[in-house]
Amino acid sequence: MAYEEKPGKREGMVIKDDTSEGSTFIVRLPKVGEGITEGKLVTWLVSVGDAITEDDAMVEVQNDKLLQEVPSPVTGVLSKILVEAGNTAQVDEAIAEIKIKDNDSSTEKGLVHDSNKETMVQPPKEPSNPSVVAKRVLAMPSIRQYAREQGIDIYNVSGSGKHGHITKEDIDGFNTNPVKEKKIQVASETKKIHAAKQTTKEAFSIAETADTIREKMSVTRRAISQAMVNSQLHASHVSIFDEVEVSRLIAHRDRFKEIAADQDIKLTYLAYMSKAVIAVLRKYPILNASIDEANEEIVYKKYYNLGIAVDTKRGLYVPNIKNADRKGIFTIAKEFAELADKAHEGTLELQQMREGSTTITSIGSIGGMWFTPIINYPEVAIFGMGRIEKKPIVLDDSTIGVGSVLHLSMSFDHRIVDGAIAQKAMNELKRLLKDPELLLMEG
Amino acid sequence: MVVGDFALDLDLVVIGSGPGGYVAAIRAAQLGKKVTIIERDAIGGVCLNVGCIPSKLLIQAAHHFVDIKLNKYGVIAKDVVFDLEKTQRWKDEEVINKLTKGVESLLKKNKVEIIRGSAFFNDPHQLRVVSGDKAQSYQFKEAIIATGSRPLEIDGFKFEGRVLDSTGALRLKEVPKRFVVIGGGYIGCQMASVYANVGSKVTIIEAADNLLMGYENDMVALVKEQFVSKNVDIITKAKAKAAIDTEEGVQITVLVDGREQIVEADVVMVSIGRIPNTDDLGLQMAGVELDQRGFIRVDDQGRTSQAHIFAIGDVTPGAALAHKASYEAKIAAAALAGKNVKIDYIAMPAVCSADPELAIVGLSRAQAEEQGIEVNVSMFPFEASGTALSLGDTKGFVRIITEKHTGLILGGQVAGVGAGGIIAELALAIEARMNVEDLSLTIHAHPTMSEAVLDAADLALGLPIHI
Repeated sequence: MAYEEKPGKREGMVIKDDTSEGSTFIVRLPKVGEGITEGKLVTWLVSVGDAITEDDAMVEVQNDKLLQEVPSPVTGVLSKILVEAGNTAQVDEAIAEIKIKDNDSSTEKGLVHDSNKETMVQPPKEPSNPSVVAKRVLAMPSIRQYAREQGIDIYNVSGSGKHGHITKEDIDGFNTNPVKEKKIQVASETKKIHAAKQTTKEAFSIAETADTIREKMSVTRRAISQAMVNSQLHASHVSIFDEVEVSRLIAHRDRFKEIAADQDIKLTYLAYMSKAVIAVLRKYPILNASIDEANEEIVYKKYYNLGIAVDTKRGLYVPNIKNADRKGIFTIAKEFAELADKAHEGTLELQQMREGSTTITSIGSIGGMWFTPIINYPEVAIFGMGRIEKKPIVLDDSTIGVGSVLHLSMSFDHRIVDGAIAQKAMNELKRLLKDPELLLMEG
Repeated sequence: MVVGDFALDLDLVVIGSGPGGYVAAIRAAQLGKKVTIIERDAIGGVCLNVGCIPSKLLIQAAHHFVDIKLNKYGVIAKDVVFDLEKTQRWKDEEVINKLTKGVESLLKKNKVEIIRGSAFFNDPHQLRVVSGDKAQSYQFKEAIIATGSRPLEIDGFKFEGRVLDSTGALRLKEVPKRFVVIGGGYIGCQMASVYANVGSKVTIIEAADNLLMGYENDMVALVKEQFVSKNVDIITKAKAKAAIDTEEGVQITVLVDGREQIVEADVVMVSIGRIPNTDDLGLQMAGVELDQRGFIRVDDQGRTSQAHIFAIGDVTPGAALAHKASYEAKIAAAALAGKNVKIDYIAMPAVCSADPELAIVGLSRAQAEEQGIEVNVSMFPFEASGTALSLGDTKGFVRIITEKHTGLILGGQVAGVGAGGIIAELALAIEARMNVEDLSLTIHAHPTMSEAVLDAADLALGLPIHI
């Protein structure tokens, strides 16, 4: 199992326990990663009655497709499990109780020991919303309905209209509330996804009969479905399709396959494709950008972390090869194989799936030619590889011959990528794949 | 299932074609559903046939009669008679017939299939429609229950002969000399007004200590004042014990302060409340849960304990009002069409077409204060309205209840001519979360009764022009 980082210890709260000498420490689910609000408790590593030492692994938590161990924040005896394995807990939700001895100098007997007193002892105070007067929210019926459709609790929205009236813009803006620091605002996912989730939930009206089966969506499947919907909600998808004759690429690969194999490397067309895509990103930097929606700015990335979609039994994972621009084709092939293995084992680290530049998704090994891939948001482009197929082609001398044709698809976010740029990028990709020697010169 | 009865397949079935059912059917059809509506009686339900519409008509007819008879406005007429039989014929042929046909054609236009008969659930997905000696089972995917309510009967007053429910009172062909109403709610007071206006000696027997529960005392006082002027007897804190037919009519025994009292009548109408039509539908077979009072339990979309069955209108908790049913109908239809909707209103208007007409919406002062809201109350009397004066009727007022600090409109009460129409503006203001300034800045046409709302708003702002 791989861990990106040890999730931070979290102070809980000690409450007086009249029934025995000790006090009870309430363990709350710590924040295990940026932007993560919940986790599924997969396995409790200790049982009720077990002694546990501070920092010992206590429970396995899965989120964002990763499995992590949560250490015990204190030394004591596990007295109660509040969230059983298999259930999902929110960050800060009480998940267990640990009996601790009171002779510990840091805890006075019978007193509340809590470094997090404000939030733990008192229920968090709802900041009073000026847009709620006399228990009613200041919004027209149509705006209330609009908020409902967006899955937003309108009582949390503060209005910008006269007297604090909530407008449609306020509802729209609620998703992308500007953050104080000037950082890329893409993590508004949770709310919008929540919105999408809610809508779908309510919209579900399939008549259930004996021949339907219900199955709980796995954490991974939920993450995938949220990411897909989030991308569709944010990006303006356009797809283009093309094909390129790759006989020379095939010959090149055949020539170097053995050499690669000697180094335990499986030389794939995907590795060539990766190299070519990096060259395209360099030439068209807008494809290696993201949109900061809150600040209405385009953020250009100077790094090239190439995401590659991996199909596993549990679902789709997109790890990325860091700084792929500085790596040769062999290294890329090797790193991809390693990442794919980890994806299959379920041991990918969070960091290995974040901060991607662009993504390549390949269905060629299964078959199929063109498709409309969904952008791995907040990236702005994704390249799709179909299969290489023998096809009749028109040769330079205007006669018909047999060519090996690779089918290419590309989706781009039309908000910042114009169609002409996208096609130029596609042309460049074709040029590089058609003549692999160019990859040596320009890649 | 009877041997040989094969269940036919239906998609969405709406049971009942009143202001809940037909609206739900049309809206669901508009949203793409294949809809069938089942009606055991007349299309349009109670509202169109034996409720709101015929009441409104009789009230209006009686008003015309009084106005003409009183030679108001210099209109002089001699030998004015009120021919109730003619009124009834006009009601049946020119109004109800047209309206029910109209609703039927609206249903057809929206491709809603109509099945005649009484529906009973066999199980959560099947129901049986019985019509005369014929019966047919139907398998359905989704259902909306909109079967409405019926007048409540009390011991000693079986609905027959001279003991009528509101339906019977609306169908009288002859003006009764002595008309007794048991139950002084809005239905009772409306019918009392009608028959008092056309010459009956009216007595109202009410169990509570005042008429028109739910309306403010000063509004009720206006109605009572009118009743007194028309020689209507009002007996409050009275319990009606029994009705006994005599040669000349019916004798009603009433218990007041522990003493029995006899009231003589030609007809007596019992209007003490309504009960939901949920007892004869086989809801148990469908697995649809009721609350203790017999109403269907629903969530904020109208969904019952069976996720594919909805209920709207009088069969659900809340006021038994046509407009509530129609509102809920649209929500239920949208929910079934997969839309994320919710019953979300705070302004439920209610109208009593007595003399004068009363209308209320939102919170009263007392209700607001109970909720801990600080309020301002502004009342503009119709004595100060030029329009009211010209209409010859200055009894009444517009009152606005506002949140003290923001002027947010929380409630409205209107008594007097046109109250039911005027209340719509206040309902809108409450639902749109307007404050008195918004009302004050809205131009109200002159000369209309609606100007009184503007005047009340100006008053709430502390800047009244006309008082």
